[in-house]
Amino acid sequence: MAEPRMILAGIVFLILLQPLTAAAIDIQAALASTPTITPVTATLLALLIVFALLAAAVEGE
Amino acid sequence: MRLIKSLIGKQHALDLLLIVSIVAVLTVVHVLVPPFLQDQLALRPADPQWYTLLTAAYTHASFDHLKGNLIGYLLAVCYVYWLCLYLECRQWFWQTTLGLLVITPLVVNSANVLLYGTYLPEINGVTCGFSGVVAAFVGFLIISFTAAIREAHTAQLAQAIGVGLILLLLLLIDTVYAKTLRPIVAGLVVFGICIQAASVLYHRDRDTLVQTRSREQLIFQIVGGGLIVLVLAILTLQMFPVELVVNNSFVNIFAHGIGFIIGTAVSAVFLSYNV
Repeated sequence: MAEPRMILAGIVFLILLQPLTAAAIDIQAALASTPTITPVTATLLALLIVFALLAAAVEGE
Repeated sequence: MRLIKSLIGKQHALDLLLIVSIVAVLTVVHVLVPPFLQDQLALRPADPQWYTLLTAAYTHASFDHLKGNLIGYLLAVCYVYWLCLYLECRQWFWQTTLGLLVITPLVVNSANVLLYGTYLPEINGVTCGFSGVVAAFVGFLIISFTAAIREAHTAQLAQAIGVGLILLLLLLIDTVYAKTLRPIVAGLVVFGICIQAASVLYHRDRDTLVQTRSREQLIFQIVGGGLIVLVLAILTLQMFPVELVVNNSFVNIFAHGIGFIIGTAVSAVFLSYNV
């Protein structure tokens, strides 16, 4: 029998999947369609990279 | 400044420098190398020079072409690096990175020669760009993500999430080119995910593993996992865009697909030697 927590996690994952995909499509469209990246897209990309670097720095401690 | 210094150790700083040096090399080649020399370094599938199988990956047709590949590379490599540090497999990261920087251009451009030179000899153009290597890093990211889940939880969960993620990314590619969500493809993907989920739910040892973790750690893992999925979706859409012809240039999605497979295979092989 499936755990209730596992089912809840599955539901949360499916709820999160749609906005995540929508955000990815928006960022990719902004990257592909405009010769210069808009400040919002640049900030989002920078935040994604900085998060990974900070997480790596913490992990490397 | 002290916080940054305390966070970034000497080894970590050297790693970041080496990661950024790839960006510097690609930019320097595009900006400083004269155009006629860049043209010689690019691959002509109809009349290939042996050295261009490697050098073509390090030249770009335009600044926008370079920009897109650099963003893709940085996004992928930063997350791979983080996951490799989490796995305490720094050696695996560097072995695979160096392997991908050399092997991917050779395989991808050989395939380009076969594809264009053999089947489309009438096309007299050049192929160049780092996107095949970026695609290989996407494959590396999926393998390292799966390895991290195996480390944090169980092999069954890692397999289920890895296969599920690949199925969802394939669904994303299908949706891009079909321009709609096809029920039969979506149904097959859901079926595949359900089979994987069933095998995880069957194994009981996951309960004890999840319960031993603190709530903060679990939230950090979920946020990190969500961001990795977001990055994978962005990179997949970048590798397989809706418009395949941009500024009279064909976006070589075949090379991207081959690059992705190379990245997955090379990183998995090196991982088996490092674990």
